[in-house]
Amino acid sequence: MAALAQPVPLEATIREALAPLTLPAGVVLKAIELRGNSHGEPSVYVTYAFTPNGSFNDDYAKKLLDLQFRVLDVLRTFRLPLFEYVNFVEI
Amino acid sequence: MPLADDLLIQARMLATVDTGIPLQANLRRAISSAYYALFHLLIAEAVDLIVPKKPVGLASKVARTFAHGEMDRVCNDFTKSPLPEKFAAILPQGVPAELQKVAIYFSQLQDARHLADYDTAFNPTRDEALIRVASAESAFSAWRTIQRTEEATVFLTALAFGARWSK
Repeated sequence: MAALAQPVPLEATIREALAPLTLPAGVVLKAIELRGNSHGEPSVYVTYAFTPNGSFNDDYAKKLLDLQFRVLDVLRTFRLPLFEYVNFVEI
Repeated sequence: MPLADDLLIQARMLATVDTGIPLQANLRRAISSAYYALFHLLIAEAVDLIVPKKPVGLASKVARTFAHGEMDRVCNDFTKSPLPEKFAAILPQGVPAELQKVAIYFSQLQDARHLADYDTAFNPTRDEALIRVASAESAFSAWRTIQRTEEATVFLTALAFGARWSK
């Protein structure tokens, strides 16, 4: 957990950096958390919520996975000493 | 069919098998199988690359030495740009985007697998499970495009040696 001693951006800074991203329909940013992952490694979790529409399909999944990579691209600009995760949960 | 491919098929089957409200156990196992599909794909590729074919049984013994946590740390390193020095010295050009995708999917899936297998408060929906299945399928597709590259060779070797690759 020594990496937590290094400066990391505040949640608000990350939120501001993510704000310009275009989100798929029905998707909203739900949470940004700085906490340990399942190995206890310092991590940042960005969680998006999506509206269940009963017609979930591979195209929609692809849009969410594309968003995942765009979020990680933004996080990488901070050069964080953290593991980075993007999760999707239903609203 | 290789175990990894079986697990990938099983993951989608479990996520979609229930016609009504899906069983939580099926959705959890779908996420877990999605992760293990990628886990076994990468181990099989690494063993095929670095372990002699004989004597019979050697490859399966070596396959058991791969460690989830160490593989996750290697994957995290391969998502960084620039690469950490221990890899940049061999790959000064960096790694292809498709290899970065594989590494990213692995880390994301492993974290999800821990929730699915161990966290009793985790209640995934079918769509949430299907996102994980789709990510494993995308990882397989991405891997097929770069599996014969030098960067993939370094990646697989690093997965095998894990934390011992420190300098």
